[in-house]
Amino acid sequence: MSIINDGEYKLTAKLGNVKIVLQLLKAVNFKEYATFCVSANGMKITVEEAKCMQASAYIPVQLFEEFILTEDVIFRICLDSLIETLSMLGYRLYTPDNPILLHILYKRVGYPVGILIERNGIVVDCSLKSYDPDEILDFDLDPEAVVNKVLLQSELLKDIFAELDNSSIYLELLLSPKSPYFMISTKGTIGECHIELPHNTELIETFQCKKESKSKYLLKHMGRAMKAVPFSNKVSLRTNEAGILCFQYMIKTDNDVNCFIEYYVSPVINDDDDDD
Amino acid sequence: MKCVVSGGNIKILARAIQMLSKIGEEMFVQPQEDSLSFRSVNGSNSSFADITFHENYFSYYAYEDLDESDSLKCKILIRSALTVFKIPSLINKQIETCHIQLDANSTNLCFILKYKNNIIKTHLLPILDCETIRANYKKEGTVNHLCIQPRVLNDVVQNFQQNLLEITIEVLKDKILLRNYIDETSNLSNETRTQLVFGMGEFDEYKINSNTTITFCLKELRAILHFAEILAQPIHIHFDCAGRPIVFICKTLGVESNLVLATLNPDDDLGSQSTTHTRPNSVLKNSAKKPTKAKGKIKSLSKTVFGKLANKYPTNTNTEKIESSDKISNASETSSPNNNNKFNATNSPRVNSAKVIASNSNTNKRENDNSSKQNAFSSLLKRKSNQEIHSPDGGDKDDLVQNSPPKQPSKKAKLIFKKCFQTTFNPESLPGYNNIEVEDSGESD
Repeated sequence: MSIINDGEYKLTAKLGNVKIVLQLLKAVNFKEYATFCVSANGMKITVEEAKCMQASAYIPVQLFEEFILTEDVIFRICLDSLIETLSMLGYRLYTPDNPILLHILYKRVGYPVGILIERNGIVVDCSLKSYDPDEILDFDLDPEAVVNKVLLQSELLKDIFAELDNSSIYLELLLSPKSPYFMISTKGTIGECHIELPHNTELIETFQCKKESKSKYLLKHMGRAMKAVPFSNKVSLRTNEAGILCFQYMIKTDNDVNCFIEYYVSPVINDDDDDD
Repeated sequence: MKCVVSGGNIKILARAIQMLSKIGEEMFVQPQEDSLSFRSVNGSNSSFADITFHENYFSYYAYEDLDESDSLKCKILIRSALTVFKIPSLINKQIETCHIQLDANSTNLCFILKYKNNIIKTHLLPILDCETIRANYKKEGTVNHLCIQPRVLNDVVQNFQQNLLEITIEVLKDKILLRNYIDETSNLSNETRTQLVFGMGEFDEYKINSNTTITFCLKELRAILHFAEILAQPIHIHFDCAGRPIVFICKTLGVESNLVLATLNPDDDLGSQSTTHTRPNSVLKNSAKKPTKAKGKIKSLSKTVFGKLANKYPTNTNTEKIESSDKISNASETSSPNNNNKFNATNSPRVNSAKVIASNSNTNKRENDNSSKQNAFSSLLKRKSNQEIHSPDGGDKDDLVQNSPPKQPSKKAKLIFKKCFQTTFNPESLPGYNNIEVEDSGESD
């Protein structure tokens, strides 16, 4: 299958591996719609909720087999439908010698996004309606503003995420230059739980803590932000003075390209009910 | 109180909490000088479980405040205890040690888990109350005593439907019959009846001094089987007769678990009839309520049984009476002979009548689930030691699946027209039989 690009399309992209794309999309799929920003570096898919949580998945240009972009484009499409389309040919059966190919085509504003997936000669052709993009919030966590930074292997977080107490509304994250260093706490109807993480094992690559910070986040938000833990390799946690937390996951693909997922979570402030 | 559990013992602790969660909603924690007990009782007080960990189960056990022993007992929600061991697969691989800490007058029971990858999890479980429970029951010296490997019993229980509520065990001198219990409100022709026979060779110990048929809840039995599996020790079963509690005990050097279950009293109604003259009102009320209550509601059913028991043996603490330790009465351990005699007397005729009913409903008899029975037999055969299989001639009898012990048939409905079908019935003997109340309706109009 080949696509003739007669200059009509602003974007023509071809991917040999649907599985990784699906994984990335599903990890940010907490809202129905997503904004796609395509630039020469690759594709960035952003999902936002109520200006207090944002998730972005990055597909670098190296992952594409073919990537022709005449000018930077930005559009919004229904993420649910896209995921449904990509799952149509059964991505779980994916093997390196029996791949599912993906083509993405986009003409210009007002035109639908064309999605073609192919496997063993079976072609699924889909057109997804494109919408005008929303403004994307810039959480702006520049390196100088970062107070605390932890870089760790995802393995360490895997079990913690699975065992979090769902009856709790909030999750408290404590980072401190002195003991207990790194602690996650929940407080639910059926008890309190404090999880102390080590700060100096081989699973922690960097632990930079300038001063103690203690912030409360909605457990719902944290649950989403930890969705990428199971299939990622490394994760970095950064917080700024205001308590905005950024998770950045690094995901290694089969052909040694690194994909990234980023989550920004804003803290819960002035919560008097729980400070008894 | 402070203690440390390490290595493989953590798995046992996790299973213990799992077992208790199948019994009740709350867990009572009672530290003693050399042991720690977890207890649970269900809402209707018909089942009680006690798991005691002895000092040698722990890597470290300190019962510090001897003076304040009263303030140490506590009650927590079993749901919060379950969150400590949320993912069973992690327990084997990841957890190194588990500290349990209970301070006097604390508001929390503290579980500290140390993981292999240096994570430390502290669970603070809120204490609901400072009380404990105790059940008075006798573990030794019951009329009947069985001892069986949990695996064997588990294989047998697997043959019954998952949603089965109660199970009936008929013990005889040389074998045991296991049936699903069908209460009298359900239509027999719609039910599958399963009966399994297993001989005394399956048991490690087999002491049956009086043949009896007892019915009790299956859910709790499954719970202790699941727990006993990890202890890998035989289960001892102690019981007397129907209506008296059955006690399951499974223990190792470090852990002892006891499960006490109420059993259904098949001669409940006979028993109450015999005492009708003393408490006519309450009894009548009870038996009238029965059919609606019994409808699949195991809790209420068991509750009635207990209620009855309490009525029947008002002074006898051998009947299982669960109460808070604050008010445990020091009653004598031996039951009064009078009561026992009465019990036996009422017991035997009832069992007979049950048999009669079973043989009358011959057509229903073979409805038992043959395939499942076969399975059971084959699995029994595979495992079979020196125990003789029931020969075909003996097997005939085993094929009969007895009805579950019936309770009071609804007498009223049957009795109203019963007389009309008797051969000796002569309508002319009725007063006013030839009076015509209404003339035949004629065709003329």
